[in-house]
This record gives sequence, C-alpha cells and structure tokens, in this order.
Amino acid sequence: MATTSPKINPPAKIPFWRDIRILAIIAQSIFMAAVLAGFAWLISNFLANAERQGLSIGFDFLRITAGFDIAEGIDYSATDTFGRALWVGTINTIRVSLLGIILTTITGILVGIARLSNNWLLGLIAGGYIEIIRNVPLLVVLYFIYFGIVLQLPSVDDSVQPFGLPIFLNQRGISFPGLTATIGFPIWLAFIVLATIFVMILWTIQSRQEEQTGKSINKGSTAIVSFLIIVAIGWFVTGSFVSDQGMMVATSRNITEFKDYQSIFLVKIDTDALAELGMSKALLNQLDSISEYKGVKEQLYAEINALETDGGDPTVLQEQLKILDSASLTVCGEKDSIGVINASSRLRRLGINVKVKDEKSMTKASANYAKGNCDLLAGTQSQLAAERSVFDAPDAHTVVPVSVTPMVVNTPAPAGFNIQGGGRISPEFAALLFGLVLYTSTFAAEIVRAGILSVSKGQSEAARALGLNEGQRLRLIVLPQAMRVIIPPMTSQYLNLTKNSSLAVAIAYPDLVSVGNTVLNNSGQAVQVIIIFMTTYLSISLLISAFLNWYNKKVALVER
Amino acid sequence: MVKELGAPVIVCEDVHKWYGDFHALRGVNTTVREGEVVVILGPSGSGKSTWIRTLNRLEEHQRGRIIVHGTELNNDVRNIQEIRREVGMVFQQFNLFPHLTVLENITLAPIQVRKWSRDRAEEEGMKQLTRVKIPEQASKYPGQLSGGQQQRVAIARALAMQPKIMLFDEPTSALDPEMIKEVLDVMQDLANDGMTILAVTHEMGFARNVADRVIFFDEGNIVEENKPNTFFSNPREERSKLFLQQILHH
Repeated sequence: MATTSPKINPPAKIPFWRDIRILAIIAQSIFMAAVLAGFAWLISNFLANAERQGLSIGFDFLRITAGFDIAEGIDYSATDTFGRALWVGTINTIRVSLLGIILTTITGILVGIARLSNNWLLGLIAGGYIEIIRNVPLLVVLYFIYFGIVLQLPSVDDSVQPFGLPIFLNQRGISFPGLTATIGFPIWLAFIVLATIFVMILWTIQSRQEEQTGKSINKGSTAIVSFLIIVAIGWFVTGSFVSDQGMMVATSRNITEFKDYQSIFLVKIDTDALAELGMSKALLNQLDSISEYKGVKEQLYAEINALETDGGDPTVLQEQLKILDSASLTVCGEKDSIGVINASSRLRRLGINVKVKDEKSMTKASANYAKGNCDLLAGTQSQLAAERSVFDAPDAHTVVPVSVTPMVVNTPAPAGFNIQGGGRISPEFAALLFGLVLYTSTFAAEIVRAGILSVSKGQSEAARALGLNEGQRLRLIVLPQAMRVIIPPMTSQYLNLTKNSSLAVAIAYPDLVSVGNTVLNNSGQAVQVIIIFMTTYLSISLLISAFLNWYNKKVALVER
Repeated sequence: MVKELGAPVIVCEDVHKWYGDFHALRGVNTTVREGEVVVILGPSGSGKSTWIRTLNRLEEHQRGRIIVHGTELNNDVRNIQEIRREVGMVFQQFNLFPHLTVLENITLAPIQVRKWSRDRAEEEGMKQLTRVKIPEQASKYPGQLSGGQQQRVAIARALAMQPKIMLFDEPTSALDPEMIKEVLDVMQDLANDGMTILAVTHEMGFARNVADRVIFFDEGNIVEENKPNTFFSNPREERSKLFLQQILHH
C-alpha cells in the first residue's frame, strides 16, 4: 500500500543560536543592558558633579524659603518655600492651559464651520485668519499681542469701558464684575437642587397627563417659570434670614442701613474748595442728594464738552469735577473678605464713591478704624463684636447687622490710581491666553473642517430629507460623527497648547517654567528643577490624553 | 383591479436643472396623484435620480415650477421645510445615522421636527419597525444589521414622520440579491396601504406588478409615460423599445 503523504524527517533539535524564540530573548536582554548602562552612566556622572560642586542631590531644597515674589496666582509671599513657588507656577500653567483648551475648542469649531460655510465672505475671513495666524511662529504672535496690543492699552486713568459696562481695560489688565459666594450660598444652592427636583417631578406628571389626555402642555415654560420662582424665593429668604455680616460705625452717625451713608458722603464734598473755584451758591446748595450730585456732575461734563468744542478753557470746570469725584467714603476690612466686597459694591451701587482700605488681618483693619481712618469697618458680626469689645469706648461704636444675598456682585470701580474690586485679569495672562487660543485655534479649525468633511454627504442629505434644519443637522448628525475624526488630532493640539504655555517666560507670566527658572537660578538645583518640569508636564499631558481617550472610546461607533 | 386615484399631489411644470453647463433636466412636465405608485425607469445619467431629488429640494431646480401638496417648492425656507416634513425619502446607500441606535434613528426627526414627546415618538417608531418586520432590532446600531435590514430601518425612519408621499431612489441597488425581496415586499405593502410612491428602480418585476404608471426618462426628460403592462409589452417610443431590449436581453 503506497502512502501518499510526503516523507518528513523526524523532528530535529534546533541549535539555540538558530532558535527564533531564544534569539528574541537575547536581543531584548542586550538592549535592556545597554539602556541600563546608559542610565547608570548619566546618574553616576550627575552624582559625581553634584558632589564636586557641593550640591545636594535630593529634593530638600523645596523646603527652603524662596525669597522672591510672584506677580499673580494663588496665595503666596516671598517668605514661602521654593516648593510653594513651583506649585504656584504649576497652578498658573494649569489655569492658562485649561482656559486655553476650552476657548480653543469653541473658537476652533466656530472657525472650522465658518470656513466650510456657503457664505463666501465668512469662508474667506475664516480662511484668511487660519492662513495668516498659523504661519506665524507662536512666539511672534505672543510678542505682537503683548507688546503691540495689551501694553498699548491706555493708562488706568483713561481706562476703556466698553459700552459703559463695569469692565475696565487698561495697561494693568482687565477688570470685570465677579461673583462672590457668601455664607447663604449653600442654602441657596439647596433651593436650586430643590427646584430642579420639583421641576423634574412636574415634568413627569405633565408628560403623563399629556399621554392620557392627548393634549400637549407647554411643559418647557412651566418648568422654567416654576424653577425661577423657587430659586428667587430662595434668594430672598437666604438674603434676609441668613447673614453673619455686619458693619461697625460710629454710634453718633445714626446709621442702620447702607442708604444712610448718602448724607455722610454728601458732607464729604469739599464745598469750600468748589466755592473757591467759582461754583455758584445755587449749584452748591443743590448738592443735597445723590441724584443731585450726579446731576451736577453731568451738567459739568456737558459744560466742559461745550467749552471744548467752542475752543474755550475748561480747566476750572475740570478741577471742579475732580473735587466732586474725590469725595469718597472709606471702607475698611480684611482683604478680599465678603464684608468688604459687599459693603463697597452696595455703596457703589447707591452712587457713592468708595475707597477701600483693606488689610491682611481684621486686627490691622480694626486698628485703622480706631484711628478714625475709616467710615465703616466691614466684617462678620462676631469679628466686629470682638474688635469692639477691646476699644477704649465700645459704646461709641455700633455693630449694625447687614443682610447679604447668597452671592455678592463684586463690581470694579476706579479709585485713585487703580481699579478696585471685581475680578482682574493681568495683561500677561490675557496676552498669553489670547495668543495661545489665537494660534492653536487655527489648527483646531482645520481639524474640525477635516472632521466635518469626513462625514459622508449622504448623512446630510438624509437629515435634510427628514426635515431637520441646518442647525439640527450640524448639531445632531454631522458634529457627533465628525468628533470621532476630530478627537485624536485635537488631543495633540491640546497637548501642544499646554506645552506651548511655557512660552509665558517670554512675556513674564509666572507659569511653571518662568517660576522654575527663578527657582533654578536661586537654588542652583538645575537637574531637580528640570525633573520637576518634565514630570509636571508629563502628568498634565497624560491626564489630558487619558480623558480624551476615555471620551473617544465612549463615542466610538458600534460595528458588528 | 382599478385603483381610485385622488387629487394631484405633485405637479411639475417645465422643470429645468443645470450642473454648470450640463443640462440635466430639460423641461419635465408631469402630475402624480394621491395614492399613485409611479416607477421611474431610464438608462443611467438620464436624469431620473436628479428629478426625484428635486422633489424635496435635495437638488435645486433652476427653472419651472414644482408644487408638492399644494405648496410651491421655491426659495422660501418655510415651504422647503413643510414639504420635507410631508415627503419621506429612501436612499440607495440607506444613509442611516451610524452613531444612533435603530430606534433613535427613527425617533430623531419626529422629536426634533414634529416636536413629539419621546414616548409618543418611540411608540410610533416601534409601530413602523413592526411594519417593516424588524421590531427586535430596535436597540441595535445600524452597523450591526444586514443591508436589507438597514434599508428597512431607513424606510421605517421615513415613515415615522407620517409622510404623505414616499420617494425611493434606487432602494435595492446596493443590496445582495437575497435581500432585495424583503425590501420590495415592504414597498409593496406600502403601496397596498395606499401610499403615494415614486420609485427609481431597476426591478422590472416591481414595476410590472405594483406600479400604476411607468415613467421612462432619457436625456433629462420624460420620453414615455404609460401603464406598466402596455409599456413592457408594447412601448410607444423607439427609445423605450431599445431600452427594454437591452435590459430584457438575458
């Protein structure tokens, strides 16, 4: 019987130098050894050099007092440690990167869509923006924005106020109204949660009713109205019942409310000086209420304008205006405390000029008050009571309870050579953020455009055929599908933006690298600082890409 | 069987369309009545797809008038939206939304365009899925379905808007042969239910058995309109004869 299978040699033993499995292990081992040897050489080199120069090799230097100031960021003073300084820098880096990423995403999507738009002009502008900005080095963009735009803003005296809003643009940055949460805020938050739950229940009940009766109910507006009512009730309830704030005033002044300060403010107007400058008696007598005060000021403005157009000399009137403006009440208290913010904002809203004298501690503020430098001392009632009890004549002063709303609007206002109150963005931060967003969003826009073009035309046709309008088509059909194509390259742009934020050093924004350079120069611990740079940026980058990978997986298409 | 046909629902008067210099539609004139099933035949490039796509403004016509359900299709966005709400369309490539489940595909337009509640839209959606005989696929994604199933979902999606007219643009051309029947069965059911249907297709069986009328397109215009039986057995025009000879050759 002939066998049809070919003749095969019995399994032979393979010599190890030809065994593919063993060869792989050998190659790996050699490579590993080379890498380890390289590292060992670098480390021993560093250790030897450090020893020769008498440098410590650990991270103990982080506990040494830094001795230099940082212009902005979280709480920090020159007496804090190097470690704290680096932390301030890290937070500043994270702050500018995070905001930059958010704004870049928004701008990128808008510009990307604009470039694809049927509107010829819009497309042209978007295209021009992308082509011009992305072909200029980022450093040049930053220099241009910082030196060419931000530092060219007017001085504090001539702050630009767009549309008369309480927003001030000047060389020292941008001041804008902020919101500060007070003691009542958590309670108000509870009201918001309550309102949300209520609206959800209402919605379910109404949906059921709709199904039963077949009549459609305007659920949306019912929900919004009831939500707003509950939240508004919460606002007033917390405002009038929950407050720990108070103001200390001289008893003799008979003050029970902020409104009572109007007369005191009016007394502060230097009428003698005004009379000397030739202001009429009648006009001076008019100054008996805040509205009259404003009226007189407006009248002066008008007269000055008229004089200027006629070629006259308005100097005297300008002097008068200056005297009117210089009248102010002084609010004392702890720096950035709710009491100070609340008191100054409320008084400003009454039309009273306010000067804030804030101190690091209540004791210092109280001392200021005791010297008679302040018209009122703002703080919590317990703080004020404690301070009052140590005064020489406690009865000469009263602590008036002040009601605070759950959130206090912190309005900026010009005061002397500065803008007081409100939130503030420094010129360096503004320039860096604006530059990073401007630059990175051009790349983001191109990525968005590519993503949108990757969605087949059939998808848009199907959406249109179903009667979806253009906004719905873009939002519900095209963008969700474009996202899959957009996210991976967008991740790289986010990482680029984060790392590019280290160019802050060029315009003196105190980011990690900028602060780190100072730390490096002052401590001499170059290698350690560089290691901190690398691990920090690596951690931030890994966090960003971990988040986006998670998101990408979430939106991935389900195939069979 | 003689079907009672209703009032005219689509009226085309001298419809022209150019792609640049290319004259794609050259003065199409026709009327479709309520409940009528019209099959559009013609060689490729004859303008039959272009014409059906002008009926809901996926393609813009540049001359002439199109009146759908009493509303003139012009540059008024409101008219376009109104017509698109009343006219369902099924495409050769299905064009399902791959990021949404089958049921979400179907309920999207009723919720967004008709402003129905989610519950009502889902109820209607399931009804339409049952009508196309795949209610059990509701929570799957389009990528998990076969071609025939996808096309049936696309039909259900169009039907969920409760359209008065259905347009089919070569609905079976991208399908494997064994899946064509399931789609044609659904179309036949629709026709039996009295839906007004315009279908561009190469399925001669469907044209012969279901259609009330055959429209034959060539070079951007209607060459012949006829009852299916007459068209297939005894076409009036030379061009129709030639076309039928070519496709019925095998």
